[in-house]
Amino acid sequence: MIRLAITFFLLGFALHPLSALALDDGQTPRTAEELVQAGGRAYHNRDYDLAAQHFERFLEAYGEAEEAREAADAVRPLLAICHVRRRAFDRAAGVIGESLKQESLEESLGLELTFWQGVCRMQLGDLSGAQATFADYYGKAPAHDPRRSEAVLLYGTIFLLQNRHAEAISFLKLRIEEYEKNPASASEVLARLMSLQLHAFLRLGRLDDALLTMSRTTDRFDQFVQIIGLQSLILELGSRLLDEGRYYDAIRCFHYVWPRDRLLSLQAERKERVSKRIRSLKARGDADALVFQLEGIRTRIERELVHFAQVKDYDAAVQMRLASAYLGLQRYREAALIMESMLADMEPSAVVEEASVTLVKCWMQEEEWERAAAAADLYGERFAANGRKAPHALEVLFLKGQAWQGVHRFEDALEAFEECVAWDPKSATAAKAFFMRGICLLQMESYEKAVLVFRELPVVYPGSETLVERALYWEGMAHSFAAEPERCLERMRRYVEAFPTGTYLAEAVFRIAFSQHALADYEASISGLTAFLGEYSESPHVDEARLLLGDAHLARGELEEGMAQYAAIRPESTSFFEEGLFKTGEALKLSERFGEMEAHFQSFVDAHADSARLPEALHWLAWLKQREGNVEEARSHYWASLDRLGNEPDMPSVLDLAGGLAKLYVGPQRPVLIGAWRDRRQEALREERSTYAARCLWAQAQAMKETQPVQSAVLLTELASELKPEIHSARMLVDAADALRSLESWTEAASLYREVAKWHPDALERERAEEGLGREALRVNEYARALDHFERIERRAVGLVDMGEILLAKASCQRSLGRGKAAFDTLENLLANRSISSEAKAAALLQSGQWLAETGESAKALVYFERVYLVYGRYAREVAAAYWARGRLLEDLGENEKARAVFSEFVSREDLEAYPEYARAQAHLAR
Amino acid sequence: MTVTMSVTVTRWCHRLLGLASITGGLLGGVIARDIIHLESGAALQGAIDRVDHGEGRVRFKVIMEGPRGRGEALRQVSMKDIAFIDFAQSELEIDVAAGRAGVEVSLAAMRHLWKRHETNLHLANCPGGAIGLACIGRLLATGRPSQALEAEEMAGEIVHRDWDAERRRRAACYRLQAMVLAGRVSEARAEAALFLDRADDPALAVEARLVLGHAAFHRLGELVAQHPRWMDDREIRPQCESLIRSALDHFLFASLFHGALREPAAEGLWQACRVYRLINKPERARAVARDLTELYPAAKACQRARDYLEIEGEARE
Repeated sequence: MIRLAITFFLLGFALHPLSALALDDGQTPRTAEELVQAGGRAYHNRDYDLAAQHFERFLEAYGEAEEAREAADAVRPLLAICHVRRRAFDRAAGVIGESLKQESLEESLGLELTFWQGVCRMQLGDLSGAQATFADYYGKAPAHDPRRSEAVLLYGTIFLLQNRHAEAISFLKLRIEEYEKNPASASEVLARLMSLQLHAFLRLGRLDDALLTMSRTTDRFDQFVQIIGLQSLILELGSRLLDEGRYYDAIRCFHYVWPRDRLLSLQAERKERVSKRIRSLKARGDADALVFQLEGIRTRIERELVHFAQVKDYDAAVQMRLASAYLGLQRYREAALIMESMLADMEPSAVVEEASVTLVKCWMQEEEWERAAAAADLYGERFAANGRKAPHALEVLFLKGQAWQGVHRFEDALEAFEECVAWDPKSATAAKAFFMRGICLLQMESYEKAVLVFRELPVVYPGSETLVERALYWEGMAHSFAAEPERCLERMRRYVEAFPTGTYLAEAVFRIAFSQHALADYEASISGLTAFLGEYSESPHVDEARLLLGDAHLARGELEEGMAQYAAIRPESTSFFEEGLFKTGEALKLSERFGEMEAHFQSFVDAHADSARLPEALHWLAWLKQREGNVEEARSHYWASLDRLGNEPDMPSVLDLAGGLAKLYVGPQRPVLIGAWRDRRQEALREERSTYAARCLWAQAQAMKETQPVQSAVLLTELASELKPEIHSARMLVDAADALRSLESWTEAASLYREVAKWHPDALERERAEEGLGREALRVNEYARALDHFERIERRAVGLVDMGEILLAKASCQRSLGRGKAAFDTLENLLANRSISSEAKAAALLQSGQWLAETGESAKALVYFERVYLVYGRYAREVAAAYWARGRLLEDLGENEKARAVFSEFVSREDLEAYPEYARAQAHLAR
Repeated sequence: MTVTMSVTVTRWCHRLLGLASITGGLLGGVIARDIIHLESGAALQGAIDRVDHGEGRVRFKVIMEGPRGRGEALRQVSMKDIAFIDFAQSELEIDVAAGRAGVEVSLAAMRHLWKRHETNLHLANCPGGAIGLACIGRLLATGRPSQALEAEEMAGEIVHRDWDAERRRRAACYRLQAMVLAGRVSEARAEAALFLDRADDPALAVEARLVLGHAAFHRLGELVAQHPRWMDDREIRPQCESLIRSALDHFLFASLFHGALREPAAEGLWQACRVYRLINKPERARAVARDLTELYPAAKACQRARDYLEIEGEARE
């Protein structure tokens, strides 16, 4: 370019003889010199339109003149450049062609024009010609020429434009290897070559090769000017892999697809940097080639940004694909987390909406019911609020109902299903929801309401045949659950008639016989159950049916037939099987077939030692022997089972056997039992049967409990050190802990109670352990901790501990913590609870009265005190305290006469003499 | 353009201009003297005597060596005139700052180096932050709460005063780890929660999630140890389930949302595997371990996953 400027200058002098005048700006050039000068000026000022105009006029007017040939040869290339700058490639191509024919054309200029010739041909669609030109350029250009790389890229690009992808791949592979030898100097070129290669692999479906190329780009994203283009290719690759079920590979791709904002921000920053650079280079004025290159980069970035801005829901599409890959791997939690983020953070769109529905289902698949319901709620807020009709609103509401059912929140489920019905009452989903309302009500044990729903369904949705059928069946079941066999019978008969091939036909037939049995119509039930067993031998109700059939026969005195049915019940049905077995035993007993009865139960003991009903069977065997007067043999049945099973930690019924055995050693025989346990323990210890040894010790202590309570407690404390909490029963642990507590070994007792909570959190005996821990905390005045334990018992309410005592203790803790009103409320709950003992209520009234008196509610307090001795007169301690408290309160209120009357009544009760309040009352009367 | 970038650009400009005086102070990689590069392009070699942050001045002992010997002069240089400083660094300091210090470099030595540069953290080019980070890494590796406190303090200094954004970020991550190690889990949790949604700093957000995941996992471990039959305990079970949920959500975060951050993503997957193993869900544990080996075969955590799958495979056979 500098040379050209000099040429201009020279031209100006050379042409001087043709025109004596220099041209001022603003005047239209006419002469050759003026045109050249004007064109030169315009070129210098980068006004390529004007420059081209002047140069074209010059060439038109003087191009053929011999004397102007040199000038024309100089101008022609400049004109070509002007056309290129103006993107008038068709015109540029012609002028370039002419220029390249010039013998006087300088080599470097010729090279440059060759490059632009390639560009022009490419722009004009002559791709083969362009490729040849670029090859020519590449062959001639020096190695350091930056346009050489550009030529390579364009050459490769042309392959792709011509869909010659295989050739492109071969070409690009070689070029990449070449540039990788010196990556620092050609990083951007390398990046672009890789993009082209990736594109080619994708077009040919060579996904493994594409994946390899992609993996080589991930560490050099900063070198990719057209990063959005690359990321789009990676996204496409990931999508193709996803479609082929190559989920891990797809995920690897999606890991490297950036969010939209990040891409836009990066490219905007890049564009700004490039623009700044262009401005400074233009100001410098001597870096046209570099400016042009940078402008090309900027143009590419701008085009990317424009195109990308039109892509809708980009982030949502990427995230949804990623989630789909995880779904393909059945990673529902992972997929749900991705979709949860989409629903929470992205703009509502069709993609996000679809993802949200899948999200709810994923959480349900993971049994994360509350999360599923929360997702359904969020869906509603984002897509279905303010009357908007989202495509899946109804489905999501229905799923929400099912989610609440999953976590047993039936009221919430009911509400969701009702909302579903209200949303679009005529839809099929609403019909299902209507039906599910009935199911929820069944689950809530609201049988009457359930019946109403099931009855209403056929009226509201007569066209939903499946639901109508189900509603009829479940209406019948609701009556059955509500113990209304007549109504159940009627409904089930109607079902069988209306739906002879219905889904619930077998169940309905069974339920008819079941109801007949419940109505004591044994003839009908026998007939029905027999038919059921004949017709539906694979039904899950078969064993129950046999049990009922046996019962029906027995009810009609048909023992053999009944026992035959019991014998046919399958052992794997466990509860029905055992029930049948024991009923057979009962039948044998009733028919005084004691020999068979013994064999029957002995067979059960031998074959089902792990049954929870083993003690019951042994009880009958013992009964038989006792009946014969053979107590020893009765005992021997128990001992045989105990010796056999005693060391099995998984046989908790062993303790019940010990209890049953104890009944065979009553009164003076008790020491024999105690001795027997002691002997067995010694034997077990010798044989290293540690669990049996511990159980023997426990049983020995139980046997001594009534007659020798202290020694019994000592034995249990000895037991404590042998117990392994993780395998031994909660009962033994708590008994040992209670014994330790009774002997004031509070720390050891507390430790054992804690082991019960740790290893047997769901055991019934946990309540006793919690009480023990509560008492231990009370003892050291840790009222908050004690309260925690007592409240836990109150919540569980199993019934193994005296709830009255617990509530009294709870109230005491609350008072100690300064929560008097809470204590009062606790005592009021106690008083309202019918199952609590009178003694506890007397104590509660007394304590409540005391609190009321302290807080100034004297009138109420007086009533409470009076109730104690009027209603609970037999609880002397409380009565004495109540009399005294009432009398004193009356005195404090200045009602001395009334006080004297109370004291008088008090001291008239000689049974209360032993209490200190009695003497005080006497003293007050004496004043 | 940020201060850091302007320093970098200026620095390279100065280098391009080929100031010979710089090379006089650089002996191989070691920088024998402090060199103050002024905005004017000039450079002063010598030793920093004192940095007066309040007055915004550096008291500098300029050292000049000439044919007639060596001369020194004290000079007050305003911070505004300083482009950047090449701090004198021994080979040891350079190694420690670059993370190349092996076990032969004692913690005491690293602490000493830290002290040398601690007051100048905010000065561009100060290696103190890098040295501090190396020291913190060593302290945390001991696993001792007492060391964790020191690490936390150091990290706090870097977070608030270091000139380099990347170091500040790493220090913030270390600080969270130190708080957890020191047993101040709830504080770490609260602080990590502030970083959760750092879209501008995914690495920090991911680190915060790992910290929160560890906090939940730690508490879960305590509960499971105290209540081995927690599945049967009506009160403990919901607590455990909530912690399981929290731990898994946080651990899986990196692999799901910043999958390109290989090491933390792989670490998160490994920790998720551990959660499933703790709650006795071996199928889930194996599935996550498989995901780890497939998605991050080169990550540090991958070998642990492979070993686990191998053992599981043997166990099932």
